[in-house]
Amino acid sequence: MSATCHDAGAASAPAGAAEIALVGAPNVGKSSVFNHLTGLRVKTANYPGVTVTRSSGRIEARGGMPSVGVTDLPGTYGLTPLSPDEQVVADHLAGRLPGAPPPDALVLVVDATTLRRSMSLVAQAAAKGLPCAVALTMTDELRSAGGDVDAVELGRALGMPVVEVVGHRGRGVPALRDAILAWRTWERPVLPPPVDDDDELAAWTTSVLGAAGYRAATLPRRSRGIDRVLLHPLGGLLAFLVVMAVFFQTIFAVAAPLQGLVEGAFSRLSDAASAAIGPPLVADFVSTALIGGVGGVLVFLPQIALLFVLLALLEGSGYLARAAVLMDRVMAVTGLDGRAFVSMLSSVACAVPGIMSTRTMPSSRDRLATMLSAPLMPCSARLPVYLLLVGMLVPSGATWGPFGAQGLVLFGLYLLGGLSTLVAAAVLTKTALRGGGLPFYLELPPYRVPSWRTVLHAVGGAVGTFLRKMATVILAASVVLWALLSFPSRPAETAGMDPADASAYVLDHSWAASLGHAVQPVFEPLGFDWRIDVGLLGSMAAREVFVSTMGQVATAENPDSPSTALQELTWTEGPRAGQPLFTAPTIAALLVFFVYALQCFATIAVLRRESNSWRWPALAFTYMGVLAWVMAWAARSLVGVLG
Amino acid sequence: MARRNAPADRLARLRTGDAATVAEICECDPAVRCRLRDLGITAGAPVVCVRRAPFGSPVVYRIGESDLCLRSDLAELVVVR
Repeated sequence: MSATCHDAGAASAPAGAAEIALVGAPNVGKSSVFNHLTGLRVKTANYPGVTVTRSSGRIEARGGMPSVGVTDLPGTYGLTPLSPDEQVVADHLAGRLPGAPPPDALVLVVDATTLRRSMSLVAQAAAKGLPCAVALTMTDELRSAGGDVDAVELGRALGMPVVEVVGHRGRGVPALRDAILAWRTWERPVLPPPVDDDDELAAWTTSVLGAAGYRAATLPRRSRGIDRVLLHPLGGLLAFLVVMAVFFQTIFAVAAPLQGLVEGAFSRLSDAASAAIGPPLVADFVSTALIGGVGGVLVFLPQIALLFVLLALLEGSGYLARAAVLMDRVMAVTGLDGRAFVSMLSSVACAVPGIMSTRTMPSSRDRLATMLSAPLMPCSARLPVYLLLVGMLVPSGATWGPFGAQGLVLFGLYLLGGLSTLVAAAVLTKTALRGGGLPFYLELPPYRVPSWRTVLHAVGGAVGTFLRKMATVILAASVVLWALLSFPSRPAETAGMDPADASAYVLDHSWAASLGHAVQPVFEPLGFDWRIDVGLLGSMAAREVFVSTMGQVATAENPDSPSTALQELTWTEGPRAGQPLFTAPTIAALLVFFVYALQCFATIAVLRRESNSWRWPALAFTYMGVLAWVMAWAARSLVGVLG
Repeated sequence: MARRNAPADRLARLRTGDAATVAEICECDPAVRCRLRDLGITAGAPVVCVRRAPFGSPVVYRIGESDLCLRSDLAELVVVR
């Protein structure tokens, strides 16, 4: 299986090759069929104007038949559009979408265990006038539950080819592949199925199923018994908490050491580079901007990969739907549904994979609302900043009742972030993202053992997309930031100083510092001076950079004890010259500022990529910036009053 | 144990464990009506109210051969007997 990368371009099959679209409901194993047919060479593209994606791949030519492009359309229960996303797919099928020719034929992926209901979709697809074939999945499940169906007779009754496919094992895939390559020879139904009249459709369905010898499953499903526990008011919520706890624990326990490895490796590489390269500016550029920048991108990979593995396992097993059901009532308050919960929760580790995980949501509008509010979730990059500032604000031994005061403040910051996310989503769905939502319905698939193939494809897709489409933006931003913090390099003035003093001098007189001075009036009401502003600018690369930037400033003042130096910093100019910089109101304001502000190039890059435009990340950056300023000011005033 | 409901009741008003048959779908957006049909909610389809989620919403219904969760907004549109 080759895994070359195609450039961004319209079709992955040569011009003139046929294009077959896969149509089917969610949970029928459509993506499994698609993965089997196309292997690893898959490209995802957005439909214009919406965040819904379609994946395309290719079936190679064989046996004299030319190759065929395969497109996996978003899962749907019917072809009558209910939302703007579905309208775009309907337009694509009808050939109304400029630049996207309609498919030449349709493969309907149908779940044998829900065959009666699926006939509605089959009828609608056949009525489109395109050649159709049916890929019948889950027949093994149907038979082991006491049901049966004759695929050949079904094909005869429908008037189109029917191929049985067992997704997990790939059984039937070669036959399906050959059938697709021979799409021009598919037989068509003599009479189009009746789609306009519900009664006629029901009668047609009954006659087709009867001719196919269809027998519905009779044995009670094991899933019902499991749901008795997992959806039970007490047992279900407890199980949910346990699953979420394991989810998080795995991410932090497994991803964190891997991230440490990446950071360590790049840090050594960076040191080696700066030692090996002569000219100091070039050395700094290569080691800090380039190597540091690349390392800063790759450090996301363990988290993205791990999160997508866990999500694929949860989804493939069927538990994710249960989690969405449990959380739906809570999420309904925000105008979203339970599906948004897991994406938001994932953002507590890091918003980058959390935002990427929204791609399974069927509604663009819900997806956008989730993406634009997820960065408010308290991500792990904020933690070093919180720890530094809480340590300066609250004495370490202080308690409040039986609890440590520092821990309580930290918990409060996390709670503030979580609640703000829900409030932001609620506001977004009622203002900027009003309308375009789908009414809520969610099918509970039977519990299944997830297939490793599907998990692998999910992870590969996410990591590939991140590297191909987001990494360059993040890298470019790191280089720009490095330049702002390192230029002008002032070789004359720093000639006689030792390295720590020299770098502090350059920082204090860099372009970033000029920017810091320039915006100082904006942040002065919050109690931030230009040095904190430079730290805020630096934290755009990654929030934890704030800690190291302030550390650099503090080391310059007092190399022996940077933390006390930080406490002792005073205003260098303006009306408060000489007064301590880090007063309690200022620290509180800074903490709250970090709760709200969107200080992460990576998040902006992901938002740009997943929402298909710069408008949404710009909106997010602006509203969070304004919110950060206002809430920081409120925090400052509150702490000032409470003294 | 399944109980028979009074005629012309709504799906949303079934109690946990009740079985019924879909009679019709109320006046609504034609696209919504199509989607309900595509989900298997057609005249004559057997439905069972399986359970409610812990906070009361959504409700799990067995419609034909599959388990489907609906909130009250869609369940109110389905007339059952």
